[in-house]
Formats: sequence, C-alpha cells, structure tokens
Amino acid sequence: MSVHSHYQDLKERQQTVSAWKVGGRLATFLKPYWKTVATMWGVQVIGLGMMFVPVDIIGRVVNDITAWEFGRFWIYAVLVVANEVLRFGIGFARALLNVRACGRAEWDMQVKLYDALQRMGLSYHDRESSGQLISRMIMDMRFVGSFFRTVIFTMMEAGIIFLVGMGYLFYKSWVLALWSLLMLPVAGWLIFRFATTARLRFYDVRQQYGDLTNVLSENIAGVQVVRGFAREDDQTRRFEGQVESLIDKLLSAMRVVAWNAPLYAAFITVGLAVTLFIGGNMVLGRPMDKQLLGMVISFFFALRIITMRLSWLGRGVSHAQRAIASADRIFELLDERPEIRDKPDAETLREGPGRVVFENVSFGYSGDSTVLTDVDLTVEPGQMVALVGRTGSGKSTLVSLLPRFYDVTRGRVVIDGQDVRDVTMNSLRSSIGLVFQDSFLFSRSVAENIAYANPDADMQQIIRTAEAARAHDFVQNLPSGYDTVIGERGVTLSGGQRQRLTIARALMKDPRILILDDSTSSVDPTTEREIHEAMMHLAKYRTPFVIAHRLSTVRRADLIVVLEDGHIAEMGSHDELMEQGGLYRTICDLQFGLAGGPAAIRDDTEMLAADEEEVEEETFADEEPID
Amino acid sequence: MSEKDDKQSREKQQAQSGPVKQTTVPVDADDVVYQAPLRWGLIARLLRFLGPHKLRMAGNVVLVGLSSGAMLLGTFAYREIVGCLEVGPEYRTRFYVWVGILALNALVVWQLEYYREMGLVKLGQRVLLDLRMTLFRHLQRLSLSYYDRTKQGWIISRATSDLGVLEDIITWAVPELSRIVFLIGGGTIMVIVLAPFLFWVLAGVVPLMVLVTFFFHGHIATAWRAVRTQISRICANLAENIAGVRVVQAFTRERRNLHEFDRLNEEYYRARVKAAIVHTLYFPSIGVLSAVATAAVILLFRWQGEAAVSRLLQSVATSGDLLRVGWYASVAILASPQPIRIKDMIMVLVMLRRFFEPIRHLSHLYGTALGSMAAAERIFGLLDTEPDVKDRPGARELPTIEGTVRFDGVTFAYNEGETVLENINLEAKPGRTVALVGPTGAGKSSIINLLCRFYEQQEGQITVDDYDIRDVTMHSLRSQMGIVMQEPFLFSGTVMENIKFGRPEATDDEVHEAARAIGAHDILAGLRNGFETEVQERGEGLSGGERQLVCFTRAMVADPRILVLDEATSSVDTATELKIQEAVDHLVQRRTSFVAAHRLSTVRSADQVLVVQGGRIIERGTHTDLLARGGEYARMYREFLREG
Repeated sequence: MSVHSHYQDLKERQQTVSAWKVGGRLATFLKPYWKTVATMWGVQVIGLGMMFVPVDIIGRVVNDITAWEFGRFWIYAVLVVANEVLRFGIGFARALLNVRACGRAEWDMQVKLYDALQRMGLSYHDRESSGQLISRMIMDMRFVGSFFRTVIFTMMEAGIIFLVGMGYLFYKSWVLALWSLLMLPVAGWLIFRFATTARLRFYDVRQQYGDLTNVLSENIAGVQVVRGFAREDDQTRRFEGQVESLIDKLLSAMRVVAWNAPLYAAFITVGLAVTLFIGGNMVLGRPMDKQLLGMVISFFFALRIITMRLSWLGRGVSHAQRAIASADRIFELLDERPEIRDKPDAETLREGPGRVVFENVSFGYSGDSTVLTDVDLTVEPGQMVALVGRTGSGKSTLVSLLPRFYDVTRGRVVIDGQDVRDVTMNSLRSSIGLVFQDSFLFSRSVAENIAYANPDADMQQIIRTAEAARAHDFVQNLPSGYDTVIGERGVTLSGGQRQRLTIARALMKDPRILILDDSTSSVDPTTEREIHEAMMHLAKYRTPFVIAHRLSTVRRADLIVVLEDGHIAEMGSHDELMEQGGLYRTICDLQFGLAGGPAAIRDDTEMLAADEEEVEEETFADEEPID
Repeated sequence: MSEKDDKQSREKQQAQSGPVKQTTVPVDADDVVYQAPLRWGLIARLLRFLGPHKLRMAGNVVLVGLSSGAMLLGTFAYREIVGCLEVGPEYRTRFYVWVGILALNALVVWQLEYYREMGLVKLGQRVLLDLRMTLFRHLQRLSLSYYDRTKQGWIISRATSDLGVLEDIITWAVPELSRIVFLIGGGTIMVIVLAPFLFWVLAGVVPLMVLVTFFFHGHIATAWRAVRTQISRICANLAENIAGVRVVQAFTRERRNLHEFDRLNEEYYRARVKAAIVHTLYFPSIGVLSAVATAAVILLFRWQGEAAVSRLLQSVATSGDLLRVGWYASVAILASPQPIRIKDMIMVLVMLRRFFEPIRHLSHLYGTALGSMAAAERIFGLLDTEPDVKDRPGARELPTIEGTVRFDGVTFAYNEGETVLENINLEAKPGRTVALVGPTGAGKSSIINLLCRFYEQQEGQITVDDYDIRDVTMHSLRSQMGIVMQEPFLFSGTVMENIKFGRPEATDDEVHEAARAIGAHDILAGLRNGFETEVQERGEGLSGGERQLVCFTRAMVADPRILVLDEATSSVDTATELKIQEAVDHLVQRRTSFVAAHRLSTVRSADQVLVVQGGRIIERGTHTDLLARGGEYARMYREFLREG
C-alpha cells in the first residue's frame, strides 16, 4: 500500500503538473543565495568555454604536422596542461559554490517542510496515515534535494555547453555547423523520450518492490500464524509470484534502457560519421588548403563533447520531471494552512484552578458526520472525571477538544473562564497533561522522555516524577538506568512500563488538567491504583479526565460520564449510576463475566465468603510485554 | 546487591550533574553499508550461485568480447578516415568505405550492447531469484526461537538491501573484469602494433588513472557514507516526530524540535560539502591526467618530427652549427624511425577517452565488492543458522486424530538453565476444554508453544492420540491444529482471504457459515465492504476486536481437531467483548481446546482449569471445584472481584 501509492501518484502528477510554475517556485528557494549562484555561473561559463581549448589545439597540432612544422609543440603541450589545471581550480570553486547555494536551499526547504508538518492540525495527520506521510515526505525531499544539487546544475551546464559549443562550431565552419544542427534536435528528442519512458517504468518496479517487501515483512511478522496453520508452502508460492512479477517489471524497464542507451550512442556515432563525411569531402575537394584537416578534426572533437553532454541533459530532464512532481506534493503541503492556529489577539491562559466547562459542544471531523452533539459538562477543579462508553462513542474526541487538537463545530470549551480558542496554544497545551492510548515514546533516554515537556529539568525532578508514576523501580533496573535509550537493541519495555513512562512525562508538566486516555489498561490493577493515588496526592488541584474500560479505574471517579453516540447518556457517581440501572449498569454487569451474569458472581462470592481470610496484595495478571 | 548500589550511586551522580544529557535518534547500524576487506572464501561462495548459469555467463563474456572488439573497430575506423584525409583525394573511395564502416559498426555495437545488457540483467535476476527463494525458504524453516531472538527489521534488511548488494557483485564482477581485459588489453595491443611510440603514453597514463581512481574511490566512499548516515538520521528524526506528532503538539515541543531538526540539517549540509569537495577533486584530476596524456602525445610527435627533420638535415649534410647537428644526430639515433601520422594521434586520443569508462566501473565494482562482504557475511550467517526444531529423519504423517493430548513429565527452558516449565503432566480428552490460568510468565504460553511444536521440550514427552509429536511431521501435526494468537495478526488482503488463510480451498459459503456459527457474522458483514473489506498491512483499518473476530473465524473455517487459543488481554469495548466471549464459547465446542485464559467466562465454562505458577501446575479442577477448595485459584478470583 504505502510505497505503491506514492509512485502511482508521482506517475500521474508527472504527466499533469505545470513544470514551469512549480519549477519557478522551487527557484525561489535559491533566491537568498543568488549572489553565490551568479558567481558560480560566471565562473562556470569560463570553465566550460575552456573545454574547447584542447580541442582547438589538437586541430592546430594536426595542421602543424601537415605543414611539417614542430616548433610550437612545446607551447601547445604546456597550454593543454595549464588549461586543464586552471579548469581544475575553476571546477573546484564552482562545485563549492554550488553546494553552498543549493545545499542551503535544500536545507531551508527541509526545515520549512518539517515545520509545516509539525504545525499541521491533527485532522491533517488523521487524514494522511503517518507511515505513508513519512515515507512520502522522505522520498519527495530526496528527489527535490537532488534537483537543487545536481539537476539544475547539469541542465544549465548542458545548455551553456550547447551555446558555447555551437558558437565554436560556427566559428570553425558554418557549413558543417549547420549540418550538425540538423542532427542535434533528433539526438535531444531521443534522449528525452528515453529518459521519460524509462523513469515511468521504473516507478512500476519500485511499486512492485514495495509489494514484495510487504509480503516478506508480513510473513516474518506473522510467522506464528503461518506456522500455526502450516501454510509455509502457500506463502513461498505467494512470495515467488511477487518475485517473478518484479522480474517482469524490471526486465520491461531495463529493456528500455538497454535498447535506448546504446541507441543514443550509435546515433551520435552515425552523426559524427556524417559530419566526417561532409568535412572529409571538403578536405578531399580542396587538397591545397592545409588548414582544413585540422579544422575538421577540431570540429569532430568539439561535436563529440557537445553530444556527450546532451545525453546528460536528457537524464537531467527526466530527473527534473520527477523532482517537479515531488515538489508539487511538497508545495501542496506547504500551502495547506493549519486549520487550528492562534487568533491574532490570542492571550495566554491565565492561572486558575482548572475548572473545565463544555458548553453545548458539537463536533464532527469532516463537515457532515457529527461525533459529538450538544455536550454540556462542567468539571470542578480537582474532580476526577471518568468517561465511559463503547468504541466510537466520542470519549477520545471529547478530551481532544481540550488541548485544541480540534476545534468545536458549535458551542465552546472553557477553561477557568477562557474559551480555549481565545488563548495561545502554547499556554493552553502547557497546562494540560496528556497521556495517550498508544504510549508513544521517543528513541531517546528514559530521562529525556520523562523530561520531554521540560528539557531543562534536573535529575532530581525527573526521579521524583518517575516515583510518582511508579516508574522509578523498573527504570533503575534497566541496563543504564535513566540513561537507557528506548528502542535500542535489547531494551524492550512492557506495555505497562511504557504507560508509566508516558504518565510520568505528563506529570512532569505539573499540569492543571490531566487527561488519561485508557492509559492504564496494560498496568496491573494494583499498580494502577498506586499510580492514581500518587497522582491525586501529587496535585491536589489537578483536574483529571480518565477514559477507561476497566471498572476498577472508573469506580474511583468523582463523576462518571457515560457517552453514547456522541451525547451524554448518563452522569453521576458509581453508586448513583448503579442505582439507576441504565447503560452504565449494563456495562458493569458485562464486565463481570457473562456466563452466569451477576447472579453467578453472587453465588461465587457467597462460596468464597465461607472461608474469608486476609488477602495479601498480589496481582492476578502482571504486565504483557510488548514488542 | 553491589550492582544495585552501583546504580544508586550513579543516580546520585546524575542528580548532582543537573540537566539531562541530550541524545540523538539512533541510527540502525546495519542499514548503513559498511565496507570490509575482501575475503576470497566469501566471494567464491557467492560466485557459486552462478553455477547453474555458467553457460549464460560464458555467452555474456563472449558478447562483451564482441562488443569491445566492435568498439575498437570504431576507433580504428576513425584512424583510417583521418588517414585517408591525410593522404588526399586518391583515397576518396577508401574514405567512403571507412565512413560507411564507422556508421554500420555503430549499429552493430548498439545491437551487441542491447543483447549483452539484457542477457546480463536476466542472468542477474535469475541469480537473485535463486538467492531470494533460498533465503525465503530458509526463513520458513527457521524456528520461532530465531524470530524471538532477532528483530524483524533486521531480517527484512537482509532479504532486501543486502541481497541487492550481492546481486551486483555476482552479476557484474565477471563481465566488468572481462571488459577491462578486452577493451584495455585489445586497445593497448592495437596501439603497440600501429604506433609503438605512443604506447608509452598509455603505459604512463592508464596506471595513473587507475591509481587516482582507486585513491579517490576510498575517499569518495567515506564521504558518501557520512552523507548517508546523516540522511538516515534526518529520516529517523522526521519519522519519529511525525509518528508522534500528537505528543509533540501536546507537549508544545515544536520550536525545540525544529531547532534540533535544523541542527541535523546543518550536519547533513556539512557532510554534503565534504562529499562535494572530494568528488570535485576526482573528475578534474582525471581531466588533468588526460591533458597530460594529450600533451605527451603532442610532445612525442614533436620528438618524432624533429627526428625526421634531423634525418633530413643529416642527409643534406651541411656543417657549421656543430652543436645543432649533434643534437639532431642524437635525437635521430634515440628515436627509432617512426612514421608521423596524424591518424595515430587521433586514435590514441579517442582511445584514452574509451579507457576511462571501464576504469571507473572497475573502481565502482571494487567498492561494491568491499560493501558486499559485510552483506554476504550476514546473509550466509542467516542461511547457516540451523532451525532448532525440525522434522526428525523418518518422521511420519500424523493420521486423522481424535484429539487426546497428553503431557508426560515435560520440562522446558528457552535458554539453558532458565527452566520455564517443570515436570508438567496433563491430559485433555477429545472435545474437552482446558483453561490455563496464572500470571504472565508463569508458563501458560510455553505450554501452548510446546504443543504446537514451536519449541521442543528438553525432557518428557507430548503425545497426541499416543503419537509423540516429535515423531510426526510438523506439517501434518499443525494442519490438524488451529492456533489463535494473543496478537490478532492479519495479512494484507480482503477479510475473506484472511479467513480462508488456514484452508484456501474453503468456499465463501463455508466462511459465512463459520462466521455465523461463532456469532461474528453481523460485525464482519457490517464492515465497510463486508467480507471484501481490504485489510491493510498487519490488520490496520480494523479495530482490535474486529481483528480478533476475523482470527476466530479463520480458526473456525480451518476446523481443527485441536484448538489452541491464547486470549488477548487488550481491552475492547463492551459490545465487542460480548461478541468475543460468544465466539470463544462456540469455537471451543466439539474440539480439544487449550486456552490461555484471561476471561472469566472462558474459565468458568472450561472442563478443566489448570492453575500455572512458576512453571508448575499447582491446582487443577473445574472452576467450582477450585473455588470450593479455597486455594490459590480462589485467592486470585477474590482479588479479581475486588479490583474488577
């Protein structure tokens, strides 16, 4: 899927996009460095002109030999070498200038793109699955980077060589030059067509290669399933099919290359033969003119240089097409305005106890479908709220409105008297601690992960927070304690350990409002209770929102909000809701096992009560290690 | 103990040292191609993959010879054309002939090169196919313990990037080397025969070109490695921060991350500048070398010319300027008389340019060879890994079974000395359900792994209908077993294809029936495109609960005699939970089932509950029996009620 669609998209764009518009915009990235660019081209024109010096000298040598005149040969030899040494210096200078300007342009663009990406609202990232977005961006930036560094350069260079070279040819012999002008457009067309066709076929190869890698990696990731169902042979056949199809596509692409690359060379040779034929006839026709042979030979070598560079131009054009298609996608992203941004007159969020009010809030991710309708909810400072409901009922959506990951469609969200849309996102998000469902950690040291919000924190602070999140003990036992880099070879954390680190990370902010999105599901119940107690103790004025499936978590909340289809179905404390016998009651009953329903539990409990005794704290289920 | 103290003291140090140390995103070392010295043993083993394709390779070498010959003929044609022009109009016909030969020869080279290239690509792909399939088949044989030990990404890199590197060396080494021999060897001979005095130019310059190329090759490779490393770091940083963009935004780290990214880009830029410098030193130095060669040719002509002139002067035999005459005389003696022909000069100049290309290829090939050593070592290491569990020689097919499973004194350790299961005895009668309960790490999954023969026990025996499972083929054993893993794994493809995975010959109706039987039909039919919904990589696009239901249906369609089920612990919402409980109830009916249970409902309806702790079975009986007994199980249950 991932690799597949990129190349497909690139292929289509390559055929539709306006190359000049996008190319022009790409050029604007070079604008700040125009002086360097101008200097480089000044130097380069001279350097390229000097390419024709040895060509001319050979012609003179030929003429001198014809005239049996060897006196100037030392001068010629020195000139040839000196010219090349000079060109060496010029080439060096122009390469440095080139990488200076173009490398900077690439750098600027990457940073700009990165900034745009991370500022983009979450709705954008929801739309584009992150894996795809990343691999696409990396690919696009690579293509555009090479465009800046080599493609523009090669193309300009080929253009200059062409102009300077043609000037030289006309200077040598305008008749011959006119003849060779006939051949050059054909050569250009050949090379251009070839490069484009080949590139398009190679997209198919890449795409197929992605599919193949996919089958392979699935086979490895799902090895237990494959073995469990004894389907090894099937998988092998499937893989072989993919490999064969890759070979087909590759051969089809290579056929274009293998046919056309030597065809171009052959065409050039035939063209040179034609030039030699005409030039030779001139020489043979006027045997008295002793200057003609040298002229024809100079002409021959000059034409060879020009046609050689012309083949670079073809490759350049095909690379440029690819880069333009990529740049088009990048610009599309750069042009996308983040949907959520600070108002021009946004204030900072004022200090406050953490009172949260949802006023008549409605929300839908995309225009038509609504996820939340008319939610009215007031949460007093320090009150623990639990959100309950089935998947898709809107729990996660409701809490993601608080840090303004999305903006409400109707109504408003108010924290301590200020609408979240009227304050700066920086101040808003700094006062909200979030713990996500998927316990995402960065591949950095444990300490850095905990101090993510506050990189200047000292170790004491970090350890204190880790202790509060019940993470200190296991962190200490990691190979390098707090310096252990997460995700490095051999270091694997269990789901519960990851969750505790993400909780520590959120606590580190000392936030006014804390949101836990089903974030203690992989922690065993005892540890979970400890974490909750520590949390409550650590910040008396914190307003925690908890989304949970596990009843032990929910039961402890001051206010339980039951969501159904985007609206609040029930609200109250555990006891009140159990009393009501509504949706909440049904959910609770279900969790206690369906086989016998509550009645069976009651029977079991009675049986157990017969030999009731002190129960020591031990856990039923420890943590499940992940990855 | 002392270790712990050590850690604590380290912590104190840290506490004093203030702010946190910064680390950067690590780069997977295996993804950067490292160079290692050539090892002939490895190269020989690589070239052995050419074995079945020897004839093709030989044919290719012949084509290389032919096309090199044709290229030299082209150079010769240039010489002859110039030669005709040198002589004058009397050679007009000869001139036309050679121009014709030049043009025709170009077409011949074109066709030869086309067939050569295509032949080589085909050959390379065939070799690669063999390598790929060898590797893939081997991966299918390797035991699960290997997969436990090894990162997935590592294996994938071996089968993708490493193989690509190897293909290059296997296919290109022989033809490139023969090209060098044919073209440079042939060209040199041509020069020696036609214009011996110009041979010294080639003899002086070509080795220098090779030297310079190889000298720069090392530096260029190093510079590029630095660039690539920087690229991987940028990619890793980008990938991580975009994947975690919610965290980034929630923690308002945008500015800081941007700064970090900027810094990475600066390092990348510097690496680029360095690479550009090395690179731009290389091509111009080759340019200077060819200029020196051109100058040498010019001077050699002068020398020959003066020699000729002095011979002329000698024959005229005028005296006077003795010194001058002496110089001419010595030159005339030293320089053996050679015809001074423009055509020879043109030939050598054209030839020098021709030589440059194969030399560059050679240095490239050398670099590839160095880079492929590490890759070859890793791939052969993988291929040489023997599976821990394999069919015994003479293993029989397991006939259709009833489904009695027995463990007799089974003891097992994943790693030597760390016993995970100790003296496990159990018996499951056909059609009965055995629930395994106990904390994670107690050994539930290990019991299941042994039963599936993913691993092999060190002591005791496991029998299915009185067949020791080590005496039957793994294929026949597992095709009568249905295994549902804790992590519901799906392949990309439709839901329907996934369900049929265990029994591809099943009909759509059977699938629907199975889904209905376990009560999953509503949910699966209600997916975006029902049973034809495309599942993305690794089941993305379906919720955890839906994935579990697909896996259950998959097991149901396979209709195994023995079902092995490792219940998922992840929380799903209540409605789905209900469906899953129902599905499990139906799935275990009428077959011998082993369930590593996390659901109370599963445990309660099991015929036998085994409480596993510390690698032993400490209690066994039905749910009610065990509660009544008031032992460990009753204690755990009480805990569950309190917490749940």
